[in-house]
Amino acid sequence: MTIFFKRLKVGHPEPLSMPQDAPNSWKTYTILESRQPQSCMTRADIAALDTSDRHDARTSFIALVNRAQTGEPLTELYDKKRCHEAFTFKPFENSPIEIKVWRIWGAGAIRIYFIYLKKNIILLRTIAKRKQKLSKGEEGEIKSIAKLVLGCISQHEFEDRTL
Amino acid sequence: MSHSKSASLSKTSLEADADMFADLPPLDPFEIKKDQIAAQLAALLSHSGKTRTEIADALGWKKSRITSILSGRSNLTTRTIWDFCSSLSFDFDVVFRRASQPTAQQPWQQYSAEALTLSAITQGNLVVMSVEEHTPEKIAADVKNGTNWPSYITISGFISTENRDLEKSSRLPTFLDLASPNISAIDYSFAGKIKPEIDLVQLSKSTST
Repeated sequence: MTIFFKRLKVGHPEPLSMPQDAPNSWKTYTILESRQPQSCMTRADIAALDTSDRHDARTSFIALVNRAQTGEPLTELYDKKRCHEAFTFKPFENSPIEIKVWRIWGAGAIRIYFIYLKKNIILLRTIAKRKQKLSKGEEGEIKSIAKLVLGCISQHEFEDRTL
Repeated sequence: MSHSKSASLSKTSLEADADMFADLPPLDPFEIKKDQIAAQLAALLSHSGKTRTEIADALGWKKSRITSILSGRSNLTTRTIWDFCSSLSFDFDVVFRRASQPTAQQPWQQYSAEALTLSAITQGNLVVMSVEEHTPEKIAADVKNGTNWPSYITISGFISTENRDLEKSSRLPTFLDLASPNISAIDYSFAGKIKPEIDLVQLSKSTST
């Protein structure tokens, strides 16, 4: 599958615009399954939430953008309970390295799963999670998305696929 | 993968690049400002190298109070901000700006002075240039439009060979963008970005305080 990346826009400031980056800012990207905006995975995640959770998701994204803008390590900007390693996995069999998937516990029940890619934050899934532990299915799906992203890295295609 | 199919997309979200939260009530700008202040304080703490436990101990506060301050949900008093900053040996000001203007530069965003030396070989001639780095704050229009590069340098100089004078230096590029935020590549090849008459360019960096 061919995927693309687009900067996260959170509805603030209005009209929709890019966050004001400092030179060292983390840049937060969503994943698209095509060049069409409606194929944005994060958009689909948000659409699946109920109104209360969507409100919390917006608050969580704004908080993420505010902190990412500073360029400081996210683990220093959030409490450990709020930003931590969710799980690790090997991108392929016998891989010498493990990929860390991170989780931000945002407002309410919102959980944001992401990986780092250089100075970028790639959002994998945004879900309303009322149980702490991910199901095997959820974890597997997040791994699948992460592997798609990693495929782009190995092919040095990230910049080419940024919309 | 059936990710997008598993989630029901509303008709609104299927429209062009619309706000995915467009159907929610408008945001309260004050709530956002509270979170921005908390994010800046968290960044200051990170920049200082101290932990939440250490600043809590220094101030005689419970760690939960630090957590609350940095959560973005508290309406902080001037006293709280002052205590927090001063314990890290920082002061703070109230700096006003138009909403459309870039924010003030913070300590963790400042560059050390970069002394850059650019040398190039062009058809057997030596090119000597001085390089001055500009932060995006100096290029406010780009920042405002969201089109700025992480950093910029301006090149000025002359070609120090016979039959070449200062006037001809205008043929040299005077503006060059760098894709690397920290100009971390010691030998950064600009081949292909420089005008064709320059065959090979290497940028070296030394940091001065």
